Amino acid sequence: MERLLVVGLGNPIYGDDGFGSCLAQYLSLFNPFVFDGNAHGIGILGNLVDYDVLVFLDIDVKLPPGAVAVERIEGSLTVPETRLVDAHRMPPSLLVGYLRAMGKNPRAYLIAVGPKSLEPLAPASREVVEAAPLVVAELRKKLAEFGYELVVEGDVKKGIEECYRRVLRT
Amino acid sequence: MSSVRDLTELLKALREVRSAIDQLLRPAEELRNSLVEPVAKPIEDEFRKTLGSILYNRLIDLGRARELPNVDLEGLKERIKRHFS
Repeated sequence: MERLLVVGLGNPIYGDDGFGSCLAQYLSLFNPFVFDGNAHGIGILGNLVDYDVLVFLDIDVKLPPGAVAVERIEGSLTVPETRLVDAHRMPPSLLVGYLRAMGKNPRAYLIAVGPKSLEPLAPASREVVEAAPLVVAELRKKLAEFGYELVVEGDVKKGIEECYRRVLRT
Repeated sequence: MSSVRDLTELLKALREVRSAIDQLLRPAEELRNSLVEPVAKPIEDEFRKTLGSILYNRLIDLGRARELPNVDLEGLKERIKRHFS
């Protein structure tokens, strides 16, 4: 069996940006192969180097609010991509680009949802929360391709809302 | 009557002094705009970007702010919001 890691990215302080992180926090309660990368950017590279397959959970601003897409990530270290480091968040393609530069060659995928609002200190939008079950279904399908079974107990939407309440102290 | 006239004259003189001072300061202001602004603006922009990155990477939880005594949490949130924007 290939070594696989699911990685949630984003910062819940920035509204929908934190969706991947909150979903990973919830799923990691039941699945040891799920890791919350949060907003730590390049700081999580060390956690990714030992895996054959990486599945990122994140937002994609190119998608309409609440839309879900599964994408293959090739990895990129082009100048425009590396400049994104200065624009706060680090996209999965850049993380995979750094892994390739380190001589690693994981297969990488992104399950993304389109954000509605990146307003600081706002909870996740209704559109993004409603998309959570579809993201979980897509993740389940992707994991099955590699022989992994995703365990989900309770209501994933409530789990995400609770994550935002915890982080924002509301 | 005389005192009213004197006061009027005084006000007129003050206006002239102010106008003279404005004329003196204008070149200094123009100098500041042409010399200081082009240097300071990129530094200010870079500083803003760096601060934004630090906040994005480090401020991931409002922590235990609610548990602090005598804290106006809404006021604190507003201040954090202003820093973000």
